[in-house]
Amino acid sequence: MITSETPWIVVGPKRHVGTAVREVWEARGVVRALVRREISSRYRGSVFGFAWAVFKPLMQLVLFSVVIGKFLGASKSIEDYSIFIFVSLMVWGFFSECISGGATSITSSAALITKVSFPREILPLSRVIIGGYNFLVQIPVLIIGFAIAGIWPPISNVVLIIPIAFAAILFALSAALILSAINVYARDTQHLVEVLLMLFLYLSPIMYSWTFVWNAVQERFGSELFFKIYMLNPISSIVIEFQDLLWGGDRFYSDGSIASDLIGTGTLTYWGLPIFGLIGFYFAYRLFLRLEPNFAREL
Amino acid sequence: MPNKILRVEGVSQRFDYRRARTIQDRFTRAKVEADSFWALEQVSFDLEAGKSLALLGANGSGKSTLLKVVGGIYRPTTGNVYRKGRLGALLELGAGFHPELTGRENIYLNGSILGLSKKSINTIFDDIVDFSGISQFIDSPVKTYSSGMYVRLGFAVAVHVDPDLLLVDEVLAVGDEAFQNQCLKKVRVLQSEGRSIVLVTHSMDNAIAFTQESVLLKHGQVVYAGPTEVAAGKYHQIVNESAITNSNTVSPITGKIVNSDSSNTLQHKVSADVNIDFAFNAIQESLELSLNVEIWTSDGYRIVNSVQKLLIHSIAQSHSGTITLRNLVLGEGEYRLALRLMNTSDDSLVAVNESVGFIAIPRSASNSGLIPVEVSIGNLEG
Repeated sequence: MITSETPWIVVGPKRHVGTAVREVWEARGVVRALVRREISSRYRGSVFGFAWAVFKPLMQLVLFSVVIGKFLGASKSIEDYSIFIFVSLMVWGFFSECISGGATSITSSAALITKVSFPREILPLSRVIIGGYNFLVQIPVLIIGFAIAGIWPPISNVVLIIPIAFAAILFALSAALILSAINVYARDTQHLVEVLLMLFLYLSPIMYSWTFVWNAVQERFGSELFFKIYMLNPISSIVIEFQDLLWGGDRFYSDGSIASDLIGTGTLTYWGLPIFGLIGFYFAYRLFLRLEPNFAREL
Repeated sequence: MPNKILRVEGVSQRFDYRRARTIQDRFTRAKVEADSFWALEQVSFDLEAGKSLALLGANGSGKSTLLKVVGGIYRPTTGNVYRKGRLGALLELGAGFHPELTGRENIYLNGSILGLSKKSINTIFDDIVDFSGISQFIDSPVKTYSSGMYVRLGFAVAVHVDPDLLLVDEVLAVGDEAFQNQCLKKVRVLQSEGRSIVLVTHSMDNAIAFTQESVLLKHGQVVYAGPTEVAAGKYHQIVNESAITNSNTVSPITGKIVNSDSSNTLQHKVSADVNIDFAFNAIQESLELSLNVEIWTSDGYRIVNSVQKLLIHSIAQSHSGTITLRNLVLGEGEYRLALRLMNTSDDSLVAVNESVGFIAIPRSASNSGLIPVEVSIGNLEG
């Protein structure tokens, strides 16, 4: 029953990041409902159900390690290429799913936005959680891969993954927040995103090692500038860290360099990723909250 | 200290006319259409817990926008809305269902948005489905639902989530009569439990039946906030005044029921004469007008419409007179008296006064209804 002691709920012109985070926490039941619904509906009506979640990346692994590894010869310069490409594709798959799903997360839920009130950032957030879930279900496949290849990353590396995974989530969430909000005002965004994702699959060190780019840039231009531009893409840094920690372990590339040589290239370093991720997330969230008040009207 | 459930403070809402949806649009036509208008301007009112409120106004007056601001769908451009407790809302058609999800999934999603745990949704799930009467479709995607089914399920969810404040926008007009009655009954139950309802409606009947307070809006501004009966009279005035196309014919018409009390009400016996003084100025000469005397019931039916011819010869002269309704016979209740001046040459409305006064007939034990009839039973056997 309502008494004069019941706390007021305030709807004002704008939310601040602090209050918004609290409101999302209070509405975590909505996040849970959205994520659960999405995951349970994905393989509904299919005979093999959940097996598809593992089968798809497994096929991708076979395809890439045969076509690029054997036919194009990448496995000659990258040891255990199938592990390398699987780790890279897991990380890439996470970003690509969060970014493309995130971009349309607001516009595809117009029916909810125009009728009920809840923190709108829950929609891009739940896309990122679903992306994370799909990343996690591939881990058993990766472990089988480790067993077949007979290489295991040191436990310390697995622990070191945590800050990098945290940074990956922050970058993906920032991108989803910004793109979902902009897409409300300019629907071109979602198409632009598809094109850019196609482009960045090749502009990030997914199928090849970053050392190829490093060497090529050094040879042709004798300068690190172009490499630094290449590394401005945070996906690159994160993919490299994942490769370094899960595939690389303490081993060397075939050209004698090790992955952590990146530190010597003057680009983003290990601890820089979560810190930069947090700063980026703060500004992305602020931009989202600035654009959010007109969502219901624009849809 | 009165116990408020809703406080709206200086809320203004600006809408931008920007239909640019693609980058191409943005470059080619952005400048032309970058314009804005204020859908709400400095709207303030509050509502005591346990009371209900109607938002009234003509089309485009901003009442639905205001309801959406109260419901948190739109954020106000300036000002704040303060509310307490759980909110149930049924805005326009459907209660915010995801078209791809089944009815069942939507109940859970909606429940969680309204702040219910999965467990508490489980306990009310059957009641919701029963109330909606669409149990055989509950596992079909809601995009396959008819508009009636949509509203049924939406209303069922909104009233079963234990709302402290229920927002309802016109939806009671959808659905068949049986379902409407079911809804209205449920609304009564909620009210008797001390919950508050904010209603947007064009039906003064519903407004008076379900709310004590009203906020009357015109062009996004509050023109009246107070008891619903009074607001309803002013609503008629606003809506009908907007039908006056040529205001250069006569001045507004004033009227008063002779012998009415301070609240403009005549305490009437079942049958008696009613006298009305009226006055207006003519701005044009040689007018052929008709004066309509109308009596409306409180639930919005016109039961008397008497048309009298008036010939006006001179300009700017105060025209006045007395209308007598001889031996007016009315059943118990409250009636509203309205006057209209029509120009008979083109049949246009030139002046209107929607609340000349009220006529109240005291309640009697044996006779309700519009027409008092003396009934006696004879030859009673057995």
